[in-house]
Amino acid sequence: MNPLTPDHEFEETTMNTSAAQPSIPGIDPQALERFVETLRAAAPQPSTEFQERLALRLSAKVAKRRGSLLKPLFRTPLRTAAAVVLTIVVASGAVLAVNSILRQMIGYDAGLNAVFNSDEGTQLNLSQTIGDYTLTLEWAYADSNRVTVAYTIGGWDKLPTQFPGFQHYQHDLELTEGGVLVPMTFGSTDDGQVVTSSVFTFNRSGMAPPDDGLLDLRFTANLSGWNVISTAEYDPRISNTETTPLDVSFAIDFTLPLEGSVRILDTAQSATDQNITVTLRRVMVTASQTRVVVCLVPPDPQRQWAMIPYLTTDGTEVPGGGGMDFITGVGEAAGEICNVFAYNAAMYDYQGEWSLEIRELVGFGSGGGNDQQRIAGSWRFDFVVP
Amino acid sequence: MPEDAEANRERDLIQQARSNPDAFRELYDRYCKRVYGYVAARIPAQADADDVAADIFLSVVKHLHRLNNHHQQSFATWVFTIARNAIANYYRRAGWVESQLSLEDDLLADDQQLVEVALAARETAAELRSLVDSLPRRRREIIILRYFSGLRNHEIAEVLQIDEHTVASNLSRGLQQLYQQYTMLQSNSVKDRSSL
Repeated sequence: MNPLTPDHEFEETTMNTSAAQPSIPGIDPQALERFVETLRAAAPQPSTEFQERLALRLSAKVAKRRGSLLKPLFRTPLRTAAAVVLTIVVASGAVLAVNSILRQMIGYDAGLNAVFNSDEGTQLNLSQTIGDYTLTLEWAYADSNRVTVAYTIGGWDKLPTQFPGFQHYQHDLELTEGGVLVPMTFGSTDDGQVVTSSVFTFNRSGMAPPDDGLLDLRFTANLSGWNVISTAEYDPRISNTETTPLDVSFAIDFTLPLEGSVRILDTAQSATDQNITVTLRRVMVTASQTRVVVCLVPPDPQRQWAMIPYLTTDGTEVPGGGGMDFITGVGEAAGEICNVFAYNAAMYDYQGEWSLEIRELVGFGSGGGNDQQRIAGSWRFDFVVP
Repeated sequence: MPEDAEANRERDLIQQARSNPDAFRELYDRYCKRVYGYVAARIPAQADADDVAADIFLSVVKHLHRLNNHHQQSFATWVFTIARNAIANYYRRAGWVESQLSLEDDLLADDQQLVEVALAARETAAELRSLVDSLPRRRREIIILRYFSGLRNHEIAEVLQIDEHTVASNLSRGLQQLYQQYTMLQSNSVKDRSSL
């Protein structure tokens, strides 16, 4: 058969390199086959880093799709729903591989629990061993409000005997491209002095999302032991422990897909009571957390003012509240000081009305914890987040 | 794995991959290098090739649920059609024209010139890619889809919207041309070494 006519058909082959090649007159079949192998091997290859980063990014997208596929569940008949739930549990087997203590700790946070269950976090299982100690970064999650890492540190049974206790006194999470994330909440427990399990959340609100949707991060933890210092007299103002670094500094680099969906309400709703005006400035809702920024002109500028909020949807208090911080760069022009309240709850899909009531203002003076001015009242805001 | 079992496995993966990251990962692992090989052979700038390859897979995730409506089309054909459109969009956006776009399909470039071009490349792979680059446009694309991306003739025909016979003849001519040029290149290289 003339190989140059359209009738000449190459034998169908797959990528299997041992597949037979067609003969072309004048070319030794074996030489042709070797040439085809060489040609195949000349195909441009993606770098391993590119492949892995893209895989991470795509997996996050697919997991997010799974989340959106689950939403109609609640409108299906109960029997169908039960069958789907069973399938989801089986499909989530890999996710459930996080150690049971960490899983329990993640479960204490309603927002994290929701993203964990919908597989929006990332199973990392990255370990580093230094001497007798091993840090394992098991799971992590990032959205526009926060980044959370769940990890264990093992080897505390090898702690030198002069230390009755231990702590990992310093943790940092920083973006490789620059910028340390501010710690928000930290929870830790141990299994009888051998392994500690910790869930650590950092604030990333106000940061622009990366172009490719991936955060390049470095998690560091430094370990230390502590001793009780003998003092002649008990003085509650003086710490009776002394920490000693163990010369164990972990550093793990990893890449985390950012769940970039965010709903934002920028507003300037004001409410006045007790001759004090309070203004709702911003609400930022992500898959795992809602942040509410509220400002007021301080009734006494010498004091640091905090507000006691009560956030509800459909008459029910939004769970996961209690986190409060002072925020700058929002209301200074109006002579305001601002508080930001964090609610660790999965409210991203909630489309109804919200209600925020500030029930008390607390002004802290310089004279310690008891130096407080408290002003009760009701400053109420009803709103919808677009 | 026998071909039927392989096809069934891929169908299952496609169904699951819409919502199961593990299934998608398996599908991705099967196609990542194949798609990248095609894209990077058409777009020489690595950073741009990376971007276009990423866009292709993001598009696959986004539209995977639609594939069910295209029973006549294999997954490979679907993915490489997306890839081909993405490459075309890349050149359209950039306002660039691929170097060989103006060559007629039946135009055979001067062998000696091709050899000289290829000689500049030090590595065998680079030499071969250089030779492939110098093929006429359609022939080059067919060779790339077949040998860099592992598509079958009927899949190439579907992606390029030409008939299978055209694919077969171009493959045959392209392979013959590449073989002869590569052999000439090798023998020149041997002569150069022996004359030193």
